[in-house]
Amino acid sequence: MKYTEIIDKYLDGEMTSQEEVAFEAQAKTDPELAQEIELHQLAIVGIQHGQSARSQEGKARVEALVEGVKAEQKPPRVKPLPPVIPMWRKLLPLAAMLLLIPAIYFITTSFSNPLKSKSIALTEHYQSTTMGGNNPNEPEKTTLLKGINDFEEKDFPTAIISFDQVIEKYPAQRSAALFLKADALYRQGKKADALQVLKSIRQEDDGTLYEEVQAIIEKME
Amino acid sequence: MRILDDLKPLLKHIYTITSLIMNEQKIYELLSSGNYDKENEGMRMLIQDKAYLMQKHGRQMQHYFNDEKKHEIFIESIQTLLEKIRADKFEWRGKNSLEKYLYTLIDGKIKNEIRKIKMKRLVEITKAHENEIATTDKPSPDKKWEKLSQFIREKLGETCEKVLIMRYYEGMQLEEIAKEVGWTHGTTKNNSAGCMSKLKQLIKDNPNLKDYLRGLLQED
Repeated sequence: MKYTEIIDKYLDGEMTSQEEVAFEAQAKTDPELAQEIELHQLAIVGIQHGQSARSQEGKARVEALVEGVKAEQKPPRVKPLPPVIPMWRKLLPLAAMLLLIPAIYFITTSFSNPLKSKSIALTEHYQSTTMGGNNPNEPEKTTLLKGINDFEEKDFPTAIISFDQVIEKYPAQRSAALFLKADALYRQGKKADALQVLKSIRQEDDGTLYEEVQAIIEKME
Repeated sequence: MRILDDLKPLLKHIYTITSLIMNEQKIYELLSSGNYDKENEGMRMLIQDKAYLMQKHGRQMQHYFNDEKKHEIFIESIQTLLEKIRADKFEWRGKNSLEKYLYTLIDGKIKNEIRKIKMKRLVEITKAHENEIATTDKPSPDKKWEKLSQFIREKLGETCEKVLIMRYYEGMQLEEIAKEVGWTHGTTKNNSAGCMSKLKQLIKDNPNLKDYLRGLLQED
């Protein structure tokens, strides 16, 4: 009787972990307890076997009902075949990409200003050589610098007036002034006028801007 | 219209609860009808309605049992529920009482299975004495068992047999057994242990029975 209660306590998980360890240690060494454990196990097997043998028919009945319900709840699922995609549709993204590349090239080249980089170089050059101040000994540079300042402030018509003065009066800075004038016209959207001015540089150039101007004209045409 | 829209969730909730109660009542009526076909219909509704209980338990016991064992526990629990209803051991007391009872039955079966696992472990520990425990051939089915179980029933008495089945087959707690048999907790505890000791003594004294049960254990 005493063993029965202790074994049940162990099986029901009602022992503390220390008690469990002690009980298992005793089971290892105590033959009487070991025999009781075997008898306990056999008794439970007997009770369960007797009961399940008795309810075998009932279980089969419930089993059949469960299977029936499962079959009703889960109609056989046919795995859908992957949709057939025609070859032309598979190639469509690739074709779109191929069309997009020249379009992007066209857009970037059409909207970029071909005169811009040279204009920056010229303005930086003149701003550094005149040190930003008025020099009564070099009035051509002072006028050019004024044009450059207006140009940078995007006051292109005023800038063009200064550039025209330089073009008319000071041949040494004529090419630079022409180039900047062409850019000022270009930025105002007057591409044809800008092209004309550039061509005049090509005709009268002293040689320093010739190749660059030629390349720009080719791009613009 | 706006008021109707606001009331919709509440109405839906009331409808769900009402239909659940009505379902349970209907299931109970069918299961307690004593008619084979009606019982089947009741069990079918029960399985459809309460299958989620098994899923819920399934999550809890996934570390212990495989799907086959979980399925077996569910089947046995429904079978036991039907037997209890037939024997007037279950009384329908309104909302969810059937579900709660089924939950208790499943719970008991799970505890039983866990006990079995622990028992096996304990027996492994006692292997030092295995020379004293003779191995036997598998038992031949199953007229022998009929005789043996008849013998056990006669020796133990009806009450002992019932208590042992509730405790070791249905996995009921002592409190639940006490309620069902009408004993106090202390009496139930003593009687349950007394009945088990009686059965063990019976096995000890009858080598035939002992060998037969050892054979079952090997089969298991």
